[in-house]
Amino acid sequence: MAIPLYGFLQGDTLGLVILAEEEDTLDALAQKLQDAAGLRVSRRDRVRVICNDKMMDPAITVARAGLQPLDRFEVIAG
Amino acid sequence: MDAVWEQISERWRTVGPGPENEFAVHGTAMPAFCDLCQLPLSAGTPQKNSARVVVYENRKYIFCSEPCQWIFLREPERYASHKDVVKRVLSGEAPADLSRLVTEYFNLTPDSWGKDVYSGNYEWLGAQRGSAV
Repeated sequence: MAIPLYGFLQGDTLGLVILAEEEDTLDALAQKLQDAAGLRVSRRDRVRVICNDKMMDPAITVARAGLQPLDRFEVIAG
Repeated sequence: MDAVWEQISERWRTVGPGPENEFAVHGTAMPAFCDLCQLPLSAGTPQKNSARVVVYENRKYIFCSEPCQWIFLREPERYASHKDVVKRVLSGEAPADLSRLVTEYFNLTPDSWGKDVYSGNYEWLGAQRGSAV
């Protein structure tokens, strides 16, 4: 199921709405946000994902991370 | 901001100036909007990011800042039923496709929508192009 999330990428000027799949890993979610913001922020090879103020394991899925529709996440340089 | 402008400038350099190339420097992902002031949520960098998600009567709202959250919670009945453009898209009221959203939902046309003042034809971009040759 697609889950709309609010994504914030370090260095960007806007928060963006990202459609994630429950089975996406957080690493894949971070890539989606980097793709969406690629016009303004050059891609980083190593990034980290923060949900609810916690640094997350990039290998776990969106569902495992407990992200629900319209939650927010952040992607920062790794 | 320098890094952002450099990235956008690089896109202008790649596609070249001209009104027909403006969409090459526009994002296609939908920005998030504050549920109170309706302005786009800005600043992705965590240290500068004051956005917050609040649950009110089983519905999630996002605010750009603590003051907007405070205003909302003083009179939630005044604001709670308003749907921003993101929620209209998610509920199916508005099309998700950017082109259709702009032309069919907002009834904008190439004559009426906002444009880059110089269509990417900035002297400083030309100077940089010249110096790179």
